[in-house]
Amino acid sequence: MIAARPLVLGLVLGLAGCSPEPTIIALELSGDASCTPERLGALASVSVEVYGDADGAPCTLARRCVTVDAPTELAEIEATLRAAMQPIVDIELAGTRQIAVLGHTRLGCGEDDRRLCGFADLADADDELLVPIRCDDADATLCPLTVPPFCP
Amino acid sequence: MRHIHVRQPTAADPLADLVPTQPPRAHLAIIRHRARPLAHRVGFTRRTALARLARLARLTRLARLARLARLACLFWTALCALAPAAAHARELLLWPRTPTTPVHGASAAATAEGHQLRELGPLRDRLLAEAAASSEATARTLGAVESGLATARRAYLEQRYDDMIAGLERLETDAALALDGDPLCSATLWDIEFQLGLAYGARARPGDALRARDRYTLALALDPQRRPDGALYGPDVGFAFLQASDSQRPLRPMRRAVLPVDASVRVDCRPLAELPGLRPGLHLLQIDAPGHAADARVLDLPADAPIAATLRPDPTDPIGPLWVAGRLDPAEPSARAALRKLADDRPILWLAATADGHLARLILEDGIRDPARGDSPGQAVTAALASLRSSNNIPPRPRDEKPRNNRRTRLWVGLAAAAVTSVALGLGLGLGLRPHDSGHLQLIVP
Repeated sequence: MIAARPLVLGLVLGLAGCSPEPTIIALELSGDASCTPERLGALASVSVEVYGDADGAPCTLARRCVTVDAPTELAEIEATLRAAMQPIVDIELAGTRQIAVLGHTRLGCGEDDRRLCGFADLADADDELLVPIRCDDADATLCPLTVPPFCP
Repeated sequence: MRHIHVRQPTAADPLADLVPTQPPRAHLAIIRHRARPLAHRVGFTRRTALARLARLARLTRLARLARLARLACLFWTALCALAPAAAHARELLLWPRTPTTPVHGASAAATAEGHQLRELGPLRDRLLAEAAASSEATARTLGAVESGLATARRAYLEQRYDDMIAGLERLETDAALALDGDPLCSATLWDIEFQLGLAYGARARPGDALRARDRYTLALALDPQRRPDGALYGPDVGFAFLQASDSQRPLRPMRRAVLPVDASVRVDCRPLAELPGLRPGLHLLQIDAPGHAADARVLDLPADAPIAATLRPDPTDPIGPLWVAGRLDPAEPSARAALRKLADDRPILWLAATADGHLARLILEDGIRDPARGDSPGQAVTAALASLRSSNNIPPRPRDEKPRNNRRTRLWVGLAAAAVTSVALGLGLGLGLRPHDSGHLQLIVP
């Protein structure tokens, strides 16, 4: 039976290889001086979005919208995301490129109301991904008015 | 008293003259045990004795050949015995991450593992000379930029705007190339872009207002906090700068299509990876990779267009400045290729100091090994070389473990193998028909 051991081992490994482990990335938000309590307090929802590309054009692969209740600091937004059902996003790994965290002044994570934004490249992720967050001010619009459309 | 009488020979030995006249050669001693004394043979003549001697000489040559063959066998056996050790032992080039990276104890650790470490030696001097030359070139460029900016201000006061623009564009090209990764990059380029905006604004030809705004916007991207000196340039320039700030377009996610893929890409003097996104418009792009000619330019980036560039391979590209600055990362294929080229394709032991200890990586013919960590350089080297030992010295399985001459065992083994193969084939077919699952990405907030 000695010769059969490698066969059994190979079979077990082969079966294990048929079900790949998911790539789990922990998001961490870091803000700067632009995110004052007043600007954060205007937010009503926060979306975590995953961008990929379709035929060379950026597109949105997934969007998870979480309602926030007048946060005064970034840690409160992080706590709200933590309290939401995990994982925040669960999609196929293939084709994923970027992560975006966007804050909206209205519920539902819609258009033309983004006042907080942070982008990070998935290629930089190493179990953890730091997303630098900025907030819009009245003088300079930092956050995008539009985001890539959903992928076909 | 009895007397013992020793009988004396009555005559001289009749065959005594058969002893060869020539003195015996040394090799005859080898066959001494073969032959009884020739004089004791019956019917021995001079001719037969000479024939015997010739035969003995032939035998002597054969014996010498046999001895040589035996020596060759012994040598071959010794070589076979020593071969695994020779294959295991390697000469490695010790390459610290920077010139100041501590390497104490590394050589002793390698020797203890049966390897030999070689210092960079003349290569280190060459890399340091390259870094010094690069620093001097950067200093020269900064000096030229300084005097060029003074010339531009003079041209502004004398209203020679075309001269001002031409001079500043030359400065822009030189500074963009020389200041890639330099801490003075954003401040220097801000000055150049602001002066260009000033020149276009003052020249006021068709389209110049737009060009001035684009240059001010680029200056804002290079340093978002910096504003022109109102006392020096007046309220009009300050107002134009504010207009550029107000007209900034929203950030867009940016894709890169750069070859080589591991090239360092800096946009507006900052690494692309650190930027949350880019606004469409003018941007300073600096791309570099070890072993490739650097590229640096100001380009107008359209919305949704990727940053595209292909660097030209340049075998003369010096890596000394990157090494001294600690920007060489052997995990990147371009850096690894440049390192191996300089090391004449010898194996490299990369040693780096980190915040929590020391790190050693082996760069071999077939790629780079996983990093090994240690509290000291010697420990890290030992851990790195242990992986080499484990991959080279896999002990052979003892022959006794193999079943021999047991037909029943072989039969059962064969049946079991057939059964397992059948199950594996069935599962493989079944699983192969399922849709391919390439893995999932799960984002969490812990």
